[in-house]
Amino acid sequence: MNKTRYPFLQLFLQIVLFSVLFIGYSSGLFVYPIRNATPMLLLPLMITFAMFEEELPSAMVGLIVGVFTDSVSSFGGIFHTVFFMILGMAVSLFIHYFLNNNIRSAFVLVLIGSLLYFLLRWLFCHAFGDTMIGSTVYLMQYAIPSTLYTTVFVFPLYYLQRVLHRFKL
Amino acid sequence: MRFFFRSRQFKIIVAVFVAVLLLSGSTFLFGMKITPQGNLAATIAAPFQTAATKVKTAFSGVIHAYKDGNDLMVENAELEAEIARLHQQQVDYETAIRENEFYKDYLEIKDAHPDFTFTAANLISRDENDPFGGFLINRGSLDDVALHDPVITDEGLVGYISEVSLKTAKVTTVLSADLTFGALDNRTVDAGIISGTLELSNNGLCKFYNLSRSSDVAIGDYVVTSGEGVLPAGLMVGTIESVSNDRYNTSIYANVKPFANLGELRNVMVITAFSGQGDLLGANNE
Repeated sequence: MNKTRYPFLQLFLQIVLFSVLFIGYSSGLFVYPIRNATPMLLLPLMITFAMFEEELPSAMVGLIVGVFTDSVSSFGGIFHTVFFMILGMAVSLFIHYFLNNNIRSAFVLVLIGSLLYFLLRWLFCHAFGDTMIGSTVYLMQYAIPSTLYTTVFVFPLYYLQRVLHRFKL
Repeated sequence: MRFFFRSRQFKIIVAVFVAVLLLSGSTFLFGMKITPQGNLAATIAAPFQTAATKVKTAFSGVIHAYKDGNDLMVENAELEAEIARLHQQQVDYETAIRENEFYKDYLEIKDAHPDFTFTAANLISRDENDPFGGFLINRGSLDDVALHDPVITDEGLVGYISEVSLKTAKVTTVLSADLTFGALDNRTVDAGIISGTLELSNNGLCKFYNLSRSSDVAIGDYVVTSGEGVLPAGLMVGTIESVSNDRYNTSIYANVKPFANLGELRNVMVITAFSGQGDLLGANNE
C-alpha cells in the first residue's frame, strides 16, 4: 500500500488509462463481442486498481467510474455508482487483510466481481421483469459468457497497474 | 479488519455513500430520470464519445474494405490506391449527396406528417452490455429533446427517449421489453401491441401480440404504429416474419422484423413534437 503523496505522473497515467478505457468501452471502440458475450472492461480495471490502493481512494475512484458508467448505461439509476464504490472498497480490504497481491488473487477477484455484476444486472433487469425463458436466455447466453470474457482482461490490466504503481515521478 | 470499520477512512466512505444515495433519491423523488452527477458526467463525456465513435466508424470501414476485397486488394494494390485517391477527391461531393438523400427521405416523412418536428442526432455510444441494443445520442434537453420522444430513421421506428441529460439522451429500442405501444397491420388494420422480449431481440425481432384469432395478419405484412401509447400514429415499424398461436390465451401473435437496421445506426431523427403528443401521459397524470 502506497501511503505517500500520490506521484503526479502516476496520477496522470491513471486518469489517461481510465478515460481511454471508458471512452473506448462506451463508444464500442475496444469492445468486440464474441456472439453475445460482451466484456465490461471497466470492471477488471477498477479491481486491479483497487488491489494497489487503500480503501478510501479505491472507493472514490469507484464512485467516479460508476457515475460515468451510469451516464451511458441503458440500465439507469445509480446501480454502477453504488456497485463500483462498494467494489473498490471491498477489493482493497480483501487485499489488505485476506489475500496476497498477485495475479491469482486478481483473477479470482475479477471472476467473482464480474459474476456478481452480471448476476445483479440479471436480477434487477430480467429475473422478475422478463419471462422465465427470457431471464434464462440472458443468464446463459449473455451473463455467464460475458463474465468469462471480462475475466480474460485481468491479465493485461493487472500487469499494467503493477507497472503504473512503480512510477515514482 | 474491525480497525478499518472504526477508522476515519470508513466514516468518510459512508458519508459520501449516504450523500450519493440522498442526492439520487431526491432526484428520483422529484420525478427526474437522471441524477445531477449523471447529467454532469454525460455532458463531460459526450464530446469524447463522439470523437471515439468517429474513430470507430473509420476503423470499421477499413476492416470491411479489407474483408470484402482481400484478394483483389493484394493483386491490384496500385489500382486501389488510385481509386482511393479519386475517392478522396470526391469525398465532399459524396458527403453532400448522402446528406441530401438523408434529409430527402425525412422530407417525405415530414410531408406525410406535417405536424412532426425533427431534430437530427448522431449515435455517440452504445451500451454494449444491453441485449436490446440501447444507445446514447448527442442531443439532449438543450436541443428540445424530451422524455418519450420517438426516435426514427428514414426506414422506420427505432425506439424512444428513455433518459435525457443536457447534451445527451438515452434511446430504448423497439427490441426492448421496456417499450410497449399500440400497432396496426397496415393491410388488414388489425390492432395489437408491440413489445420486445429477450429471446426475440437475440434475432433482431420484436413481438406483435394480442391479435384477435379471427384477424387476417400474414407474413410480409407491414406494421405501423396506431397512435396508442407514447408514439404518434403511422410510423413504420417493421414487417411480419412469422405468425403463431399464443400459448396462454386465445389470441395470436406475430414476430416483427423492424425496418430500421438497429445494429448499423449512425444517424437518427428525434421527433420532438407531433400533434397529440403527451395526451396519454397527461391523461394518466390526471
